[in-house]
Amino acid sequence: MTEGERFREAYAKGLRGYLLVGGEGQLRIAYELGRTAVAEELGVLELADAHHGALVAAVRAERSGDEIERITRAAGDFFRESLSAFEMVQRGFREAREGAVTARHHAAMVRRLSDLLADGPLPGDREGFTDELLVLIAEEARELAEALACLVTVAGATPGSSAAGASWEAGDSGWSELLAHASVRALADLVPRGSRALRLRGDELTAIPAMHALALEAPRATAWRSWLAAPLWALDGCRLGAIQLFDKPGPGFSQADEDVVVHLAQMASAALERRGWTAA
Amino acid sequence: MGDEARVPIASDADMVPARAEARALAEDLGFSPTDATLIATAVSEIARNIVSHVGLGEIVMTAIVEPDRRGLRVVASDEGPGIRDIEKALEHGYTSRKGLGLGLPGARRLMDDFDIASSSGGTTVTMTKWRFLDELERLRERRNSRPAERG
Repeated sequence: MTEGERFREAYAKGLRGYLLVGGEGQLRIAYELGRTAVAEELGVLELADAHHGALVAAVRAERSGDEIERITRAAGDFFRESLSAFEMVQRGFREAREGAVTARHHAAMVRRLSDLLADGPLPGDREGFTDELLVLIAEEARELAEALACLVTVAGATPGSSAAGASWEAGDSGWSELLAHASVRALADLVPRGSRALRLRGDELTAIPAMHALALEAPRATAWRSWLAAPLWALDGCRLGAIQLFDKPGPGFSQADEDVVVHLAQMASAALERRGWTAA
Repeated sequence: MGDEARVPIASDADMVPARAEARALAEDLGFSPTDATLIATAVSEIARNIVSHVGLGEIVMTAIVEPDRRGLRVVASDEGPGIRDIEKALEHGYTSRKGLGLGLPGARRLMDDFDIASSSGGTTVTMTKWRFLDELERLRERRNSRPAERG
């Protein structure tokens, strides 16, 4: 008997047990069957085939329409339970695939930044370089974290030497005005000294006093579903600036998003310092 | 509706009452049959983890009722030696079962919130599945919460 035949036999026996007895004990058997199928590297098609064969056998002798319906519904519950292990594997596969895509993207971004640093202007020509760098960081951060907008700000030691770069989803011109608000830029100060980043859900953000004034100036800010900021720290511990990400559809910014943005902030800090930028 | 269920875990057989309690709470909270299955599966995985690595523990399941959502929180605790490298234990592919991402990583992927606290005195896994109320449910909630009007 092959592995597949043994599995089909075990599945048919399990389903017969569930149709006779019902209950959680029998559903646990379905879950274990699914787990066995995954561990033995049987495919979901083989599980579907085993289920279909067992269901056909279970209804073959039935004449009553009500009984056939009861059996079919119960068999659906059993099947769903057996599929749950495949769901776990599928989600793991999706996560691994997304991780690989992010890692590739991240590597490409690091290469682009490295190229920019290698080809960058000398310290005397700091302004053009900084603007280019900040816009690039904002675009990369927004894309990697799937945020709707990103703002990167730095404040230099000399008057008028502050700079900013921003990126937002195409077609939404409202971001330009919103990101120019001084109180939006000041949100970066929420990150405690010495922290690598701060990540808040929309409800946590709107509860912060600094948001109350902003809500009056720009009511749209209260609809942000999440917010993430990572400061740019100089080697001597002074704050050079910050990367802020605004609003992400779905459950909000993740730990992986935070890690990417912190990495970007570290690279941006190094780039600025190497070019002679000093903190305010 | 009972809003808490406590199930001691000492053997594989205890997975059945733990699953049954999880499913009953999930159904009471209005989770779909598919979500109830995912919750029961996550509970099975952490119960199995306790039995395989420690031998003895407990799972406590609590219903959470908030204005716009319902949640089922599962807290599994044991007094074993703890997990040395939590991050590694949750990595995809790091399991003793051919690296297929079952066990703790599998449970994490089935739930919405997942947290592990571990020390030499034991491990606590806390995981929650959420269900957001639809517009009709929120309307009913508001209506039910209004004080009775005198006719």
